[in-house]
Amino acid sequence: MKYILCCVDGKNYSEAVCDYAVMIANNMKLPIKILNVVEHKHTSEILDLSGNIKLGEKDDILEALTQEEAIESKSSIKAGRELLLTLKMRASASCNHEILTSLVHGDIIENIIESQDEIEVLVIGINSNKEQLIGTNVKDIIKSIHKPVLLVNNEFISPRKILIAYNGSTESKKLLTSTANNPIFTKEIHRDIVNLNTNKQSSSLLLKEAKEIFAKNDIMVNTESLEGESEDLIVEYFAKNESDILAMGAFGHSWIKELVFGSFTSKILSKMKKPILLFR
Amino acid sequence: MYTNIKKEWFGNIKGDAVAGIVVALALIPEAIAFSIIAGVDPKVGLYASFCIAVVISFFGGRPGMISAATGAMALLMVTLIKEYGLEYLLAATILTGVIQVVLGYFGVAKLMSFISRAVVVGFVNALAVLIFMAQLPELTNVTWHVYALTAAGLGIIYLFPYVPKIGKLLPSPLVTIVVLTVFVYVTGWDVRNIGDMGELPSTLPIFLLPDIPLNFHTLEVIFPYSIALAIVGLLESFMTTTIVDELTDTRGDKTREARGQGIANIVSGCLGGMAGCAMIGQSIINVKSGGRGRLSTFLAGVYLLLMVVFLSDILTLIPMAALVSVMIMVSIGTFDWGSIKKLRTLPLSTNAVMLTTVCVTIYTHNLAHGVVSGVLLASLFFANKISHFMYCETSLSEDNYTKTYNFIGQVFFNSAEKFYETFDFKEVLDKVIIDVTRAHFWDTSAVYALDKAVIKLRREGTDVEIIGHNDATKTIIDRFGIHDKPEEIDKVMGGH
Repeated sequence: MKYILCCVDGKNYSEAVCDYAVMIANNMKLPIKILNVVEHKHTSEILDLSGNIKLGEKDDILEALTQEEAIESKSSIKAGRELLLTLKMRASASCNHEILTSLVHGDIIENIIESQDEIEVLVIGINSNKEQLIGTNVKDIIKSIHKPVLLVNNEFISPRKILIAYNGSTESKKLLTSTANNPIFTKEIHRDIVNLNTNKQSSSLLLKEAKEIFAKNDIMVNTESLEGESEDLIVEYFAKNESDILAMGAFGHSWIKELVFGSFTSKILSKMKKPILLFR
Repeated sequence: MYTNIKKEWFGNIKGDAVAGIVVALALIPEAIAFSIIAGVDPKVGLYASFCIAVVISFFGGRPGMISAATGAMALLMVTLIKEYGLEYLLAATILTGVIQVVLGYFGVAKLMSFISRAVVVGFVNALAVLIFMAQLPELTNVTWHVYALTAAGLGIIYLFPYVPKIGKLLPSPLVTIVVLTVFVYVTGWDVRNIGDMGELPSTLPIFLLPDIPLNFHTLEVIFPYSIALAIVGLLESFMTTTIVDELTDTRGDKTREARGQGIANIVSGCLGGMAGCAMIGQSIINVKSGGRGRLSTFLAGVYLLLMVVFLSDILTLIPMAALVSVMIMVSIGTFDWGSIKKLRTLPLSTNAVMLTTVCVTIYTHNLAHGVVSGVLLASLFFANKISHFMYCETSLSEDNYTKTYNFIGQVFFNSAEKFYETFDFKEVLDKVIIDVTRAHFWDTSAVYALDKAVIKLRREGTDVEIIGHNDATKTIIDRFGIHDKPEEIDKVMGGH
């Protein structure tokens, strides 16, 4: 069964995440699944550097660690259940489709990868307050799943305008075609497609092609060519144009290149104050 | 992949950095003590501990586990060193590594499933006893001073942590070593110290291939030792992996660990160190001190080398009694105390397996022998238990001339005799029907028993008819399909 996966942790805009997921679910006519993962990231509070081991030490350590972690897990389970219940109530007010909730143990990335085939769109909250940088966790999630991911970094606003950054590569063309065929947002929403390019001519050619792809599905788009390479151009255009969501391909390069030049995607993410929809 | 590496290395920097120091302090006594027992200079063990810890931190499959020069391995080398010398040991170490890499490649880790819990417990307990016994030479034919120092050392190790504030911050083995060294130095007691036991490292290890003739005779000499070392090394490493898995609620990769142990031993042999493996006691110390990642193992090796190279003049002054008390602590901590408490409640066969493993190991000083005995005994007990799962319903026809034996259950080497004896050969009959549709013939012993019974009956002038013979003997084939559907299992198990 296909669904919209909505990952919440109770900290990063969980309610907004839920609202966006409901909106997408209604647009795409799919059920929504709200997922909360009880992560076991406990690091022991006990500081004991005595370095000695007595008879039965192994059993004692095991017992101590088990107790410590049990307390933490119990409280996160309780919090998770409450969160899911609240969000389900919230979602059911406006969601026209089935709402599933799921509370599981383990690692969030593993859990997402496991249900990769069932996910149509993933919605997840990111912390934008701290240093304006995305955590490695979110980066890993985006890199490990080949489905659209909506990163929510602010309170919910019903989007009126979306900005699509398009570079014309075979990959992004494929992505563009599949979203045009199965749009995540309503057809009525205003779409702008921008292309960052130093060559004006090829840029307009790419944009014309993109426009046609959407036209086939009766979707009207605006196109714009931006001269240059800097990610700031997109961010500036986004602000000037009063767009509500930025859609773009993500992390297309090898990690070595990324290590040397820094990732284009990461740079954009760190500068955006509104949700970003990433394709990979 | 990349994230995993980052997590395993730098997921717990603070805890790992501190735990590394505590672990290094527990590695030094074991490396020195067992070098002496193996009959080589302490530097051989210390170089080995450095190399193995550092290499395994990169190639091992279980972050947070500590590997270095160990007692279990040292005990296997004693005769090799006595008869052929150090160069042959280094060659044997390299060969051990090669064997471990090959075994790892062939997925030796899967064989661990044959080692039952009782054998594992027996191994751990036997190891603890071996470590303790290895300290006895330092405690026999010595003056009372040594006993006093050892007792004081143990006292400090176990009581110092109760000192408020600093008790949990200073590693008590360190306190013990410092206090006893200073005490002996000041009082001038004439007791043995590390300096009396052989050369300590004064430089970083250098790459050097063992100086041995590369011929068949050499191989003939070192191969048996290398095989034993490879097996014991892998066994202890796998068992330690299981213990660390349990303590940290995560899962190690045993196949990768086997390969890592092999690479570590090859490097150790090339740098003048002896073979080693994972250490139960030190790994427990690591987890207790907050070590979880690869960094703690790496740093333990680095700290160890730094301490040894730069403090070697001071190290020579450490009395052996101080090391003995640290090793007694390691021995006590390695011991699976829970298993002794459970002795009374566990079935006799389980206890017999555990105790056999311990006794054979202590007698042979070879953990591999102990494990093989334990596994063998456990398998026999298991076979015996399964052989009870066979019974026979008999029915006589109305005219009393025909008898039907309806066998249900498992027929194999252990139950074949019981199968044969089920037949009543005294009875005078015209016909015997043997229905084995719901029985199960596991090996040729079972088929032979059936043949024997048929011949005997025919000689007595009885006609014999066998029903379901083909179904019953399907399992003699060594390769089975996977029977993971309930109805398949039902068929194979003869309907229990």
